[in-house]
This record gives sequence, C-alpha cells and structure tokens, in this order.
Amino acid sequence: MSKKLVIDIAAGTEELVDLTDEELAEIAAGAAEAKTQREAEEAAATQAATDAAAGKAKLKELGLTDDQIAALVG
Amino acid sequence: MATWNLLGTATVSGTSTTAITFSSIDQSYKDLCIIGSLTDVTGSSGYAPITWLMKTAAGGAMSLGGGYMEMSYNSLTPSSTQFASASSTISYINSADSTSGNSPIYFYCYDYSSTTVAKNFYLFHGTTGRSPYLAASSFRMHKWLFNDGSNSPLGTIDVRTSQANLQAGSTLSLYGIEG
Repeated sequence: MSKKLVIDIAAGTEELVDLTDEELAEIAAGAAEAKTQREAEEAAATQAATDAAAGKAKLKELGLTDDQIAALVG
Repeated sequence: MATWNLLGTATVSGTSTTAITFSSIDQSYKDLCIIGSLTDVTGSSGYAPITWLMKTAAGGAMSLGGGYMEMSYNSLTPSSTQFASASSTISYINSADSTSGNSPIYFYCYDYSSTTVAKNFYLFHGTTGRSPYLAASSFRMHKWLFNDGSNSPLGTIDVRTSQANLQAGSTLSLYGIEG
C-alpha cells in the first residue's frame, strides 16, 4: 500500500499513513497529466530543433558562413 | 534581518512512501521555504514527475496560475509554459539509477499566512549526477500565483510522486521566515 509521510507542524508529529482512494486517483491523474505535458514539450523541442536545422541550412545556401550563422542565431 | 525557523523535516525511510505532507502549518510567519532533495526508487525513465498541491488549513485545494521555464532535451534554447489555471504544478526528480544523482528542491512562498495579500511561490528544481544533455529535465524554474480571491492562508503542502515511491533518504525541510 502506498503511503504518505505526514508532518503535522502544529502538533510536532510525524506519521506514515495509507493514501486514500481519492489521493490515489489524484496521483494517477497527475501521472497522466505529467505524461501529456512531457510528450507535448518533447514534441515541441524536437520540432524546434528540426526548424532550427532547416533554417541554418537555408542560410548556408544563401552563402553565409558557419560563423556568420552562429552570430545570427547561435 | 529575516529569521529562519525550522518548522519540520520529512525524511523518507523504507520504500513505500509516495507522498510527503506538511499539514497544520504554523501561521505566525510571513513566508515559507522548503529545501531538500528527492529521488524516486525506479530507474526506468531516469526521472519521475512530482506533483505539488497547495491547500488551505481546512484541506481545500487552492487553484494556481503561472508557469515555468526549463532547460532540457539537449537544447540550448530554454522552453517555457504558462497556465491560466492549474490545480497543481509538476516538477521532476531523478530516479535512482547508476548516476546516483539526486534532485535539489527549493520552494519559496511569499505571504503564505496573509489574508489580504496575494500569495506567490517560486519553485526551482533540477537534477545532479546526470548530464544536462540527457532527456531528463535539467532544471525548471516555476512562478505561481494563488488564484484565490478570498486570500485563504496556505495551511497544507502535498508533494507526491506519481511514478513510483520515494527513495529512502529523500528529505524536505520546511522553514518559516519572519517578516
């Protein structure tokens, strides 16, 4: 059984208790949300890298040197 | 000069702890800070999401609005995300694996006990022992505002891993800062 460590500040106590069904459901929802966020961020990062590479290639076709491209776009 | 007071420390033992809760938080300070380091017990993906939930003293969930910036995914370009409304925010910690890294956590909440001033918190987390060029999130910086028109004081903080359990030795310390 998954548990949570509860630190009650007012009482100065520490207790390891079972998670409730509601908390387990929230954790499952949190995992799904994290997965969705992560996949979206990874897809965006991949697309940005692809676009950056394509843009740099186009600049090179136009005659810019690698140093000039780096100075422009990093 | 502000005085920092240690209110409590949670240190995980065993392998069945999924969450850490600081409850009945003393309302006699101006700001709150959590400092610590967490590691997840599994190593399947190298990192694990951690969900942060803010609650009133009565246990009611507090809505948030804000976002974060991060450096990750072998990219020199930081990415950012905003949310007009969210019930929680997610950070990432290392999973226990051959890197033996951990995940430093810094959380600072301004005016948590105030009933008149809007509350904000900043959250910084990252990973150690792992190349920043790997997919695991290198570091993320959050800023969130409590969407709470009634300005209820913050009474409980829940920190939950949603992939597996926390590794023994994971620890968070809560400090109250006098204004």
